[in-house]
Amino acid sequence: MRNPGRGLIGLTIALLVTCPLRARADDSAVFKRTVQPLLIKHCAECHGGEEPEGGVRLDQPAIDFAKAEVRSAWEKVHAMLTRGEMPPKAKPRLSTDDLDTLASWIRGEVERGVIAERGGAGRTTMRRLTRVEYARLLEDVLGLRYQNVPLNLHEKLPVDPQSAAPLNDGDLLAFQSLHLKACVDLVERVVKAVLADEPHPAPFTYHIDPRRLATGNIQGRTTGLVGQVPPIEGEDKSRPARVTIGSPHRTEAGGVLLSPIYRVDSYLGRDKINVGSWNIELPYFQPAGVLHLKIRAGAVIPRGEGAPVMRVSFYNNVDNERFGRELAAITVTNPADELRDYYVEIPLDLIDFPYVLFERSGRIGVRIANDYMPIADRILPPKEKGKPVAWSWEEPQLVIDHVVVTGPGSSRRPPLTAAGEKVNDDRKRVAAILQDIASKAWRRPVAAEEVAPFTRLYRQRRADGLSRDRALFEPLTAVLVSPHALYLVERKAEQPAPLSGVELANRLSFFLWGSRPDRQLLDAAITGKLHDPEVLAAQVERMLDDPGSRVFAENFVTRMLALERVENDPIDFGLTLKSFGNSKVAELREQRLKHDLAREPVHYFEHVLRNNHSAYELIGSDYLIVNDRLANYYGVSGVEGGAFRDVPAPEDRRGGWLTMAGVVAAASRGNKEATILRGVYLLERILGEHPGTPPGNVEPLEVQARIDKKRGQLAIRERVKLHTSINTCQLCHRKIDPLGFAWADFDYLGKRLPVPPSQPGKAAAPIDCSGKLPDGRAFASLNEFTQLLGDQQQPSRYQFGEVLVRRLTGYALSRPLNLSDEEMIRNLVQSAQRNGWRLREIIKSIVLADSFTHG
Amino acid sequence: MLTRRTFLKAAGVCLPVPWLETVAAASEKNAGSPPGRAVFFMVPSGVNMWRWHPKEFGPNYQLSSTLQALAPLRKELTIFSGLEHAKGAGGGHYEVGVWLTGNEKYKSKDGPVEPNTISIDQHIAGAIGKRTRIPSLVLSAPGGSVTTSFDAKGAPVNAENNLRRLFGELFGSPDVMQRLQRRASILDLVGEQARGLSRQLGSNDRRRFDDYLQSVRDVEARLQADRGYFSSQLLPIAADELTLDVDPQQQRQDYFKTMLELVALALRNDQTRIVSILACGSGHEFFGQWPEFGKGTHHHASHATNFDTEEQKPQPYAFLERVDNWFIAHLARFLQRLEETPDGDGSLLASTMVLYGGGMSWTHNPSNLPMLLAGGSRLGLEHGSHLRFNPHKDFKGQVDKSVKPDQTTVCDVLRTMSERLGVPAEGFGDSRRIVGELLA
Repeated sequence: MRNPGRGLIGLTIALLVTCPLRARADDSAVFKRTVQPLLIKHCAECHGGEEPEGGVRLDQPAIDFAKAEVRSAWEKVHAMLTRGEMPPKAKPRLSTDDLDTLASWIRGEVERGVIAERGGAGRTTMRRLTRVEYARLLEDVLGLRYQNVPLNLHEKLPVDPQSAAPLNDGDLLAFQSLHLKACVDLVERVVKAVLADEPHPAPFTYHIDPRRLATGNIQGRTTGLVGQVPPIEGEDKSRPARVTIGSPHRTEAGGVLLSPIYRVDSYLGRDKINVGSWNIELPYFQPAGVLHLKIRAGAVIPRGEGAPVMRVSFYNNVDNERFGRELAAITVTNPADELRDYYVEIPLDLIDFPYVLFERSGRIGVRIANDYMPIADRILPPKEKGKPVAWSWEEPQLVIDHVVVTGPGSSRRPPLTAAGEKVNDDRKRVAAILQDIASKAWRRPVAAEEVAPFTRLYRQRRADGLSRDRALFEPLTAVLVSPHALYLVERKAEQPAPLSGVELANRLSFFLWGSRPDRQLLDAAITGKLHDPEVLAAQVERMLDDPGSRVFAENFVTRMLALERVENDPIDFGLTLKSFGNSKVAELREQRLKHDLAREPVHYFEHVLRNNHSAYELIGSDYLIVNDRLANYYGVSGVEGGAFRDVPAPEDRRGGWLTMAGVVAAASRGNKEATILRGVYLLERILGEHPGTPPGNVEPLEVQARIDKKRGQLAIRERVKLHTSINTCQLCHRKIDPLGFAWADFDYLGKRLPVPPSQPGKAAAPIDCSGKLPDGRAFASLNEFTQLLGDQQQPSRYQFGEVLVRRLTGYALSRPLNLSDEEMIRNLVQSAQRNGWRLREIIKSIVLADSFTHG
Repeated sequence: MLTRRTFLKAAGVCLPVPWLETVAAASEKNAGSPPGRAVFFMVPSGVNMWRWHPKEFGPNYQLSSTLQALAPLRKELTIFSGLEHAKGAGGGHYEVGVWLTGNEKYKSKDGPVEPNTISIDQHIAGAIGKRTRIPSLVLSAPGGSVTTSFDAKGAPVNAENNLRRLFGELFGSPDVMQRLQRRASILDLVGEQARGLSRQLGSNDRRRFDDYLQSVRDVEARLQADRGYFSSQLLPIAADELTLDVDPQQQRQDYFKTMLELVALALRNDQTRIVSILACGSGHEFFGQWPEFGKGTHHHASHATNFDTEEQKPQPYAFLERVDNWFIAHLARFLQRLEETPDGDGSLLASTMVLYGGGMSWTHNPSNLPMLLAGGSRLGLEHGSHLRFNPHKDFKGQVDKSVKPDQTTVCDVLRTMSERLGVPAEGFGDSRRIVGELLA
C-alpha cells in the first residue's frame, strides 16, 4: 500500500514513537487484548518495523490521543478502513466484527482525546476576534461610521491565518506581541481621533456654485470654470478656496455635466489633470476632525448604460508631488431633474494620506469625478489619419449642481463621553463613561468595581494636570485592548455545561453578524430568556432579517467557495483589446467585473436565506441574481443598474453556484487547463472531502507539456491520465480527476465553451464532460453531476445538503469538526431533511444544538 | 513593595548600551567582530557630468574636481563609471523609485501611485533589522512617501523628515517618554485584568489565553527596555549642541549637517544598522530656488545640459557643479565623522558601507550614473579604485567600445552590499553577479 497523506502521518508516527504509553491500565488491557492483535494481524506486515509503508506505523503500543496530530492521523486510518480502502485488495479483508472493533476503538479514543484537550466532547476553545471582527467592534463602540467613506481599519492589523478548510478556525487564531502592539497602535489612534482634547477651530463653510464661477481655460486646451471662492458670511474672507471645474458642459438648470473620467484623461494617470472633474483646493488647515462634503448631484443615464460612479478623492495637484487617494465611490442613480444631496464625511485623522504634501503645497485638494466604466466592450473603428476618432457611444453623465464644504469642528454626533454628561461629580462622571464604553466593548454588563482601576488611572492623570478629555485617553485605550474586548470570553466549567446567557449571545452575534450583540439580544441574555429554545430561535430569525447578517453570508460563502481568489489571483480577462487598447481602462474594468463575479454567489446565498428556500437551491434553480454587468457577461438582456436582482436564468446557467462564472474562475485560478485544480476544488469545497496533500516534486500539467513535447500533443484527458498513472498519485487523484471534467465545457473565466467545429473526418461532437464521483457513481454532464449531489434518495456523504450542514456547523463553532461531532451532524441532517432542507431551519437547528449552547 | 514593574524598571536601567535584542546579536558582539552597517544616500536630479567622474580608471586615478573634498578618504572609497540599471530602468524622473529597487517596470514620477518592488535596505532590514532597536531608518528631506525605500508589498516606507522627532525616536524626548509612560500604564491595566481573567478560565482556554499574557509581558519588557535605554547616557554631546528645529528647505546647511550627525550617532550606538537618506525628490521643486548657486532650479539645470559642453551651457553646468560640491562636502564630513568614531578595534567607517549617488547623468539619462561606495573595509571590501563597467559616454562624450556592454548593474552592487552583511540577495532586482572587483 502507498499512502497519499504520507507527510502528515509520517509526522504523527514520529510522535507515536517518542510518546510514552499514556493510556490508563484498564484501557491498555482492552487495547492489548482486542485491538493490538488485529493491528498486528492486518496492518503490521506493511505498517510495521523501522521503515513502515507510507511512514505509517501501526505496530506500536504507545498512542497519545490527546495530541491533535495523532487524532487526525487515526481519523485517516478510520476513514480508510471503513471505506474499504485498507487493507489493500490483495490482502485478506477484515471481518465485519473485527472492523467494527477497530473502528469503534478509534472513534472512542479520538473522542476521549478531544475530551482531554478541549475539556469535553464537542466543546470549543475560547478564541480571539479576527481582525475584521475587532475592527468592526471598534467602529461600533466608538461610533466610527462616516457617510460613504469606508475606513478599513482591519487593514492596519496583522493578517489572520486562514485554514485550508473554509472555516474561521479559532484553533489557528494565535495571539502574539505583534498583535497586541498593532492593536494598541490602532486604538490609540482612533481614540485620539474621537476624543478631542482641544477645541476644534471654528468650522468654515464654502458654498461652491458653478453659476458664480467664470469660464476659463484649463491646461491650456479645455474650457471649464475657474475661480476663487471665499468662505460664506462671517468667516475669514482672505482664505478663499481655489476651484477648477474641467468641463464645459452644463445642464439647463446650470449644473455641471461630467463625462466618465476614462474618456477625458485616458487613464494614463487616473488623477493626472484637472480636466473632467471638480477640483476644490482648500487653504491648508490642521488635518484633524471630520471634513464634511455635501454634494448635490444627479445622473443622466443613456439607455443600456449603467449609472455613473461619483468618486471623491484627496488629491495633491502639484507638479512632481501628485498624489491621489480615493475616499468614496458612490453610485448615483437619481435623474438630473431630481437632484439629491450626497454626504461625504472624511475623518481626517483616520485616513492614511501623506498630509505633509498638503502642508507643503498649502492646500488640501478634493477632487470629484465621474468614474464610470463601460459594461459592454467598446471596440473602436480603425483610425483614419487626420480625422478625430468617431465615438459612437453615449456615456452616462454625472451632474453636480453645487458642493458645500464644511470644515472640521461642526460635528453633531454625540460625543463619546455622552454617558457622563449629566453627572456633576467628576469621579462618578468618568465611572459612568467608562462603564458605558466597557459594557459595549466587552459586550456584557460591567460592574462598577470592574472599571475601578481604570477610573483610578484617570484620577491619577488628572492629578498630573491633564485635561478631562486627555486624562481619559489611557483608561479608554486600555478598555478597548482589554482581553475582554479582544476575546470571546467564556468561563467554562470542567464538565460541559450551558454557556451563560451573555456568552451565548456573543457566540450567536459573532456567528450571524460578525460583531457584538445588540441591546435586544443582550437583554434576552441577561434576563435568562435566551436559553429558551423558542426565544433563541426567534432571535436567530430576527438576526437573519437584520442587514447585519450580510457579514455572515459574505464571510461564509467567500470562504467556502474561495471567492477571494477571483479578485486576488492574477486572472486575465483579456479586456485590453476590447477597451480600445488602453490597458489601464481594461484593468479597471476587470477589477469591477471580478468584484461583481465574486459577489454573485454571496447575493445568491442571501436570496435563498432571505426566502428560507431549500439548501439544494444553491446548486440548482431557474433564476440568477445579477446586476447589469453580470447580465452582460452572461448574455442576459434587459437588466439595468448595478443592483443585484433575480432574473430568469438562461438554459446553461441553471446550476446555482455550480454554473456561476465566479465559482468556475475561483476553481480554475486563471489556468487554461484546470481539470485537476477544478477536481480538487469540487472535492474539497462542494463534496466536503479533504483532497490529500500532493507530493512536492510534481510539475503542473502545463509545465509537463512544455518539457515533454509528446505530452503536449495529447488530448487533455490523456495527459491527466498520464499525470496520475503513478501508483502513489492515484489514491487521491482517482477521486480528484474524474470530478474536474464536470466543468470541461467552461473556460477559466467561467464562460461556456461552444461546441467545437467539426474537423475533417470527424463529426462535430459536444465537449466530453463525463466523470465520476469518488464513490463510483458516474455522470455524463454537469447537470447529471448536480443531480447526483442532490439525490436525496441515496444516502451519501457527498449529498450537498449534508456537506453544507457540516460547513455551517464548523463555521458556527469556529473550529474543524471531527469524529466526535458525527452524532450531532447526524441529528442536524435528519432535522434538516424533516424541514425540507430550508436554510434558516438548518441554521436554527445548529444554534439550538448542545455544542453551540454549551461550553 | 517590589512589583514586577519596579523590577523591570530596575532591569531596564541595567540594560547594556547599545541595545541588543537577541541572543544572536549578543553572541555576535561577543565574538569581537563589529556588526556590519549600510547607508544609502541618494541625491537625485543629475550632476555636472563634465566634472563628476575621474578621467583615469584603476587605482591610479586623479580625483575629479567635484570629488576633491573626498581626498582624505581616497583609500576608503571606490568610484563607479558606467554603472546603471538593466534595461534603462529609472529613465527620466523615475530614478527615486528605482535607485534601490532596480524595478524596470516602475514608471511613476508623480509620487508612488503604483506598487514598486522591495528596496535593498528593506530587504536587508527584513533579515537583520531585528537585531537592533530600530530595524531601519528611512529619512528624506521632503518626507512622507517621497523615499527610496519600499516595503515587501512595494509600498513606500513613510520617511521621517522632522529632526526633532527623529531625535526623540533615537534618544528619547519628552514626547516619546510620555508615550512610553502612557503605554506602560495601559499595559498595567490590561495585564492585571488578564491575569484575573486567566484564573477564571477552564484549563484548556487558559492554555490558549497564555498567548495574550505572554504578549503583554513581551511588549512591557520592550517598553521598559526603551525607557531604560533612553535614561542611560547615550549622547556624547549635549543635546543643545544639535540644531534640531530646522526647516529642510530654508536651512539646508544646518538641516543636512544635523541629520547626518544623528545618523552617525545612531550607527555609533548601534541603534540601527540600515539607513536610507534621500536629499530631495527627482525633478523635484522641493528645494525651489538656490539663490546662492544661481538662477533656476536643480531639476531645470540638469534638463538643460543635453550633452552640451560647459562652454555652450555655462550657467546650468555651473549651477549643477555648486550643488554637487555642496552635497559632496556633506558626504565628506559624514564619512570623516565615521572614520573618527572608534568601533571595536577599528573605525566605524570600516564597518559601515556608504553608497552615495543619484539615478541620472546627462539630461535625465539613466546611464553612467554618478555613484560611489565608501567604507566597509572590515566587511571585506577593497577600495581605492575607479571602476568602470558598461560602455558609456565619457567626459569627452566618446563611447568606449572596448568595455563589454550590460555587464554590471546597480543591483549587482546592492546585492554585493547585502551579502557583505550576511543577507543573501541573489537575483535581487536585475542582479546577475556579485561585484568581485569590490572584494578584497
